[in-house]
Amino acid sequence: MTFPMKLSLTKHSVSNLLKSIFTLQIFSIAIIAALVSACGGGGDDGTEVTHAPASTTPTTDTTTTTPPPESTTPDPDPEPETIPEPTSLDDLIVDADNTMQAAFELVIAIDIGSVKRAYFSLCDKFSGSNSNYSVNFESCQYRGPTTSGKLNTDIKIANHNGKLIAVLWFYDGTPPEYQIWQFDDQTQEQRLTLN
Amino acid sequence: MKTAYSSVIYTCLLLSQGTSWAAEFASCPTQAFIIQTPSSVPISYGVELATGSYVILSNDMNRLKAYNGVGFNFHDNYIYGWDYESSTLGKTGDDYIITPLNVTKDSSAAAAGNFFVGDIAIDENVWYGYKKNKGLFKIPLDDPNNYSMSLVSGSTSNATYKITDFAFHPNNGYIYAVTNGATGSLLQIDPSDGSASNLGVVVISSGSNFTFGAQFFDPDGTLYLSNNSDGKIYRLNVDEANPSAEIFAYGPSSSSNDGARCALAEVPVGDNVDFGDAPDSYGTYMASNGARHSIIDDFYLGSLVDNEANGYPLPLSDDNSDGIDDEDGISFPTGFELGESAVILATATGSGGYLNAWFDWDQNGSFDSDEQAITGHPLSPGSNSVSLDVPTWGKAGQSWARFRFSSLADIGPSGGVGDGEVEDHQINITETGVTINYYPSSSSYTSVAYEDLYPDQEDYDMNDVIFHLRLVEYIKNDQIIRVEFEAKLAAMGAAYHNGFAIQLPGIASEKVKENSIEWSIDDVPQSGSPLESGQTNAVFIFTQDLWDHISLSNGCSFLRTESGCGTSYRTTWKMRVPFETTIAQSQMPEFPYDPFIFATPGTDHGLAAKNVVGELPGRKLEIHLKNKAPTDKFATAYFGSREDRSDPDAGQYFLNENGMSWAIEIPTSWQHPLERERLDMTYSEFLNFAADKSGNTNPNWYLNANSSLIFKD
Repeated sequence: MTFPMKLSLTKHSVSNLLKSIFTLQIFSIAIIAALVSACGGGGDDGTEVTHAPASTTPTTDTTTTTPPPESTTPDPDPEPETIPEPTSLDDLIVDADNTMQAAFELVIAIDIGSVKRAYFSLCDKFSGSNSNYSVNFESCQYRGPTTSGKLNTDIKIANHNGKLIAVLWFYDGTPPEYQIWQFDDQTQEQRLTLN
Repeated sequence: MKTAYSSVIYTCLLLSQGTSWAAEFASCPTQAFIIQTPSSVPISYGVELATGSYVILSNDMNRLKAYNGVGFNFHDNYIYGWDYESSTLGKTGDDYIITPLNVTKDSSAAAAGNFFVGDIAIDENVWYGYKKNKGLFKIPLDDPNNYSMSLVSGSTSNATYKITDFAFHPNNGYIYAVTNGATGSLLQIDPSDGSASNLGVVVISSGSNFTFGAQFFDPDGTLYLSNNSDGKIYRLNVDEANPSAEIFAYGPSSSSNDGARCALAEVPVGDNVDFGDAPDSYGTYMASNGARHSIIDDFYLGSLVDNEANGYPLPLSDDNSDGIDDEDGISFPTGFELGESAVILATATGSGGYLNAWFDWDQNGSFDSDEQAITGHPLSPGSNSVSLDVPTWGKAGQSWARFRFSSLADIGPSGGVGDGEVEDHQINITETGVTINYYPSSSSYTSVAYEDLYPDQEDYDMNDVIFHLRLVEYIKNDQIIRVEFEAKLAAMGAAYHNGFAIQLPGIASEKVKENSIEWSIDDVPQSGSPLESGQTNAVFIFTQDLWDHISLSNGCSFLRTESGCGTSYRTTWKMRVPFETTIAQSQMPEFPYDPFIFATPGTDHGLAAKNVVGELPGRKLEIHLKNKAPTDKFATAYFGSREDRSDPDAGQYFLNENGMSWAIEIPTSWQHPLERERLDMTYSEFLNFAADKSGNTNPNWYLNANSSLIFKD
C-alpha cells in the first residue's frame, strides 16, 4: 500500500513516518483499540439475553464503534461501567460474592387485629378468583398459627415462585381470607402484609 | 357331565309334564344370593361379597310369603329353598321365579312346619333343612319325579341349637353355623345325625344382638355371615385353631335374611373397586381386608376416583404411576396441632353420603377405635368444612389419616363398602404453636449439583452428583426446635466415589439431640447416628459412598446422565433432627444450609487431589456450594491449589479465578444436562444470570433449557 504523495515536503516526511508506524504497528494498535473498547463500553448494558452462545472462541473486538478511551487522567479505581455479555463459561466472570442462588427473601407481617386463633398458609398452587379460591395446601412454603393474632417472619422463596397465595383460616366458622402476593421488581425488599 | 345330563332330564320330564323351567344359573356364580323378605314378599339380591355392593336381582319372585333355608345347588346350578306359601321346597332359576315342588313328606317332616335354615350338600345332591326341636331333614334332588322329605335318623334329640342359617363346607362334608345373640359361637354339624360340636365364640357384639340370617362359604373354607339388623358381613376361617370373625363388608340389611351361594366360587374383587394407599399395617391390601369401595357413578370424594384391582400402598400407588391422583377430595387448610382443633375440607360429588375418618395420632401404624375423629358426618354435595379435635396424647411427626365416603353412615376403617371412595392422606402432626417453613415448598425440591474434579475443573456438565432436597424447619416462639431433611439422589455422572453430607454452619454439634435423631434410607429405619464426631458444627453424614446406593442398567456407566439410562427410582434419605437446645431463628443458617460431597475415604479421587495432601484424600476433600466454608475435616491445603481461589478471610470458598464454582443450587427438581453437555450450552440464560451480581437478570434461567441437551428418563 502506498500513501498518496501530497503537498509539501514536510507532509511527505510525516506521511512516510505514519506509513511505517502503520505497517509495523498496526497489529498492536488494533489490540490497544480492542482493550480500550472492552473497558470503555461496548454500547450495550448486558441485560439482553443472548440465545445460544457463539460456538467460536471469544475473539478480540475489532469493530471501531467504540467511543474513544476516557482515561486522559488515570482513574485510580477503574471500575468498568458495563460488562460485555459473556458468550460462554470460558469468559464468564462471576462476582466473587455472588453465590448464584436463584431465590429471594420475603418478609411476612400478619396482624389480624384480634387475638382469636387463625392458621396462616403461604402456598404456590391455587386456582379460582375473586375470593373464591381453591388452594393446594400440599404446595406451601410456610404454615402456622398466629400468636395473639400476629405472625412475623422472613423466608426464602425460589425465584420462579413469584406468585403466591396467602390464606388465613379461622376456627370459629368465619370464612377464610385470601390474598394473592406477587413479586414486585420495583422494590428492594419483598413484603407480604396481611391485616 | 352330570350337570348337563341332569338338566336335559329335567327339561324332558318337565316338558312332558307341561311345565317349562327357567334356565339354570351360570355355572357356580361368584356372587352371593341374599333373599330378604322386608315386608312379606321375598326379594332377591346379588351381593358382591368383596365390597358388599349389591343389586336387586328380582323383587317379584312370584311368591307372597318368605323363601327361606335357601341353598345354591352346584350340581344343577339352581337355587332351592323353603317356600312358605306352599310349605314345600321351591326351585329357582335365573329368572328368580320360585316354583314349588311336589314333595312327599314322612310323618316327622309333615309335622315340622316351615324351615328357615337350609342348604344343599356338596358331595351329594340333597337339600338339608333344620328346625330346632324337630331335627335335621333331607330331600334328595336327583329324581324330579320323586322328591321325598325324611327325618335324618337320630337328629331330633340333637336339634337343640338355635340358628338362623347354616352352610355346607366346600370340601370337608360338615355343615357350619354361627349362633345368634350378644355373642356368636361356631357350630360344626354332622349331617349324618344333626349333632353339633361347639367350636367356641367367634364374634362379640358391641351393639345389638346378632342375627346371622344368611351364612355362606368360599372355596378356602372361609365362612361369611350376614347380620340382619345392619347388613354387616363378617368372615372367619373355620379351619383355624381359634377362629375369630372380622367385619369384611357392609351389605344390605333386613329383618329377614337368607342366603345362598355356590361355595366353590372364589370371592373376586373385580376391577371396579377403589382401594386406599396407606401402608398395609392400616389395612390396605385385599388380603388384609383393606378399605375398599365399589365405584358408583357420581358418588365419590372430589372430582376423581379411579379403580384398582388391589391396594397399592405408596410409593406403589397408582396415584404416582398412572398420572391420575384421585386423592383430591380432602384438603387440610389448618395444621394438626396437639391439643387444638383442626379443620378439614371434604368435597363430595353426589348427595346422601357420610364421611368417616381415622387419624393415626399416636403413629402406631393402625387406626384404633379412639382415633376415629369424624363419625358418620353427613356431607352435602360440594365443599364441606369439618372440625375435629387433635388429642393431646398424639405424637408429633408424619402420620396417616383415612377418609371414607359412603351412603352407609356406620363403617369401620377396613372392609368393603358398596359405594363411595376411600382417600388416604399423610398428615403432619405438630406440637401446639409450631410454624413450619418448607424449602422450597412442601411438595417441591431444590437441586444441588456438583462437579467432583476439584481442585481441577473440567466439563461443567454439573451432574457428577445431583441431589433433590427438601428442608423443613419447625419453629416455636422464634426458636427452631427441629429440622427435617429429605434427599433424593437424582443423578451421578461421576466415576469417583463420593459421600454426601449436610452441615449446619454456626450450629454447634452439641445442640443436636443426637439420640433422638430418626432417619431412614428408602423408608428402612437406620440405627447408627448420622451426626459426625470431631466436628465443631453439626454435620450429618448421609452416606460414605453413593455408589453403595445405586444399581445401573446394562450398558450404563452412570446414573441418569447418559441417554437411555433412566429410571424413575430415587434412593431417598429422610432425617428428622430435634435440637436439645433450640436455635434462635436469627442464628439459623439460610436455606439450603450447607450440603456437600466428600471423597469416600480410601478411594482414588484424582491425581491433583492426591498431590495436594500427599495421600488419598478421603474426608480431607470436600466440595461445597460457593462461599460455604468447609468442615473441620477439610484440608486447608486445598485453598488456592490448582484452580481453587478460596479466600477464607473474604468469606470466599470453592470458587475459581472467574468466580465460577464447583457446585450450584437450583431451586427446583432441575432437568440436568446430559453427560458431557455443558451448563452454558444447555441453559444459555445462565451466563447473564451469573454475570449480574444483583441476581435480577434471567432469574428463572433454570426453567429454560435447550431441550435436546437435557437428560430424560
